Amino acid sequence: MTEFYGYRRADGRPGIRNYVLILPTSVCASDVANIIASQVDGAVSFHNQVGCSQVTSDLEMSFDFEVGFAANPNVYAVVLVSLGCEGCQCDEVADRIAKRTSKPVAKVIIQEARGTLRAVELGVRYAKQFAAEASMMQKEKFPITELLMATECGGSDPTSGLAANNVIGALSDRLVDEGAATILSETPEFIGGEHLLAERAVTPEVHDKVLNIVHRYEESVRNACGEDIRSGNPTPGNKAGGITTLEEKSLGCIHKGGSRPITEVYDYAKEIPAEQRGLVIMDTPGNDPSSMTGMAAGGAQVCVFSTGRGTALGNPIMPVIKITGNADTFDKMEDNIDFDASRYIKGTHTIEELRDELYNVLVETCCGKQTKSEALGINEIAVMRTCNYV
Amino acid sequence: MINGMFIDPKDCVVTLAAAATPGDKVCYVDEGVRKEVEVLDAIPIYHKMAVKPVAKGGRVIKYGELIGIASQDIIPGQHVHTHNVEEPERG
Repeated sequence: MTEFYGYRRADGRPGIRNYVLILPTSVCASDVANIIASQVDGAVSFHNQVGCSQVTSDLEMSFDFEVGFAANPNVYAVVLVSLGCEGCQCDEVADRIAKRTSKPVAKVIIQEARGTLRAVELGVRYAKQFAAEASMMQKEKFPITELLMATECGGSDPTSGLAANNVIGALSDRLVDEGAATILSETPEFIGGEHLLAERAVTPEVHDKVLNIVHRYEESVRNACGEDIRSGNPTPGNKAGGITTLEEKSLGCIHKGGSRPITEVYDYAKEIPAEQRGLVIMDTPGNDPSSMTGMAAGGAQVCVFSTGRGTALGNPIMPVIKITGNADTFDKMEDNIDFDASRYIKGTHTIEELRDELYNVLVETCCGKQTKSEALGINEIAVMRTCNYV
Repeated sequence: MINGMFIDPKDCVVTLAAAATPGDKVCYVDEGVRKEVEVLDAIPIYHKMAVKPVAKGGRVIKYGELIGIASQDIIPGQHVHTHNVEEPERG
């Protein structure tokens, strides 16, 4: 049994990082949160584009992602930063966090702290105390079964379906076989291939959920803007690249979910319990940063992300290992991409060889090795929503 | 030199790792066996080439799964794309 060194948590899975998360509960608190994080070694933050002026269903997704980020195993403690009057009220976020985890949480409310300067001071004092506590933790060995791995693909080109997603799918299968859990995401990229995923469901209920999230996603786009999500898909660029039909495109995308049974379907940013094993689906957008946000909120400790064109993306709390099947892209963007899967296309390596190599990179990353996006401090996120701001 | 990517034993197409012109040879590996097909069309990089015949109305298989229906007879060596494959009916 493979093991990795991680951080034991009071509840849930072990962490592979030990962050103090400075969590802005709305747009209006984001700059203050980022200033606080910049002052404290070991603290991390991001820009939150939601959390206020949202319809109820969208605001609920914002609560879910914020609470999920706080509960993510890679986070040791949380400093909530809010303006004071936003939809995602600081106390409400804290109460919801407490229902999921007993980890330390402090609150900074800018309006109550009497402005940003005093809010920054208060937040820095909380954060440095948490960072000092976090620094005292010793890593422990955990079995690979404690891992929840997210998968993602973006900036796709034909090599994604030829090599990169195949390697990720093989890695997902290996992890599932070893007793870990993996997530397939990006609902709009199931379209045309959803029946194949549904056939792999372990129960009729999960089968219907797979088909339902695709239908629901299409309907939400049609209701929001009256457009057919299938129109123009595959795109002219996809076709020029060699993708003939929507089925072919979706098959390439869902390849990163491997071949194992689909055990459950989770809504966006909902908790994936620590007991969950096997392959699951999360209903997320095809948009990469918002999809990864949902999976990190679900509790994924690490993400493996395939790209054809090349991407710089990472995530503030979930290390992202990026892989490409495009030799030219790896050559041009090696600063951003961790793993070269084009060796399968060149014929020098098999999928199984690359799978095992990527598995080793995954374990090293879990043990603390920085990914390229971590080293460069790429922390952008986005959050799913169905409606304009109100 | 392996220049054709054959993904699943059920597939009837390979994906080319380099552009090809008529008369070129595409080599690929099918369950450990090296195979070769002569190219009949000009085919861009990462596009598909038939390695098994598919009759008009037959199933075009890639990734071991249905990706489309042949809109005309397809023979090994031909470019396989929107000109000879259509979207399958949705069930």
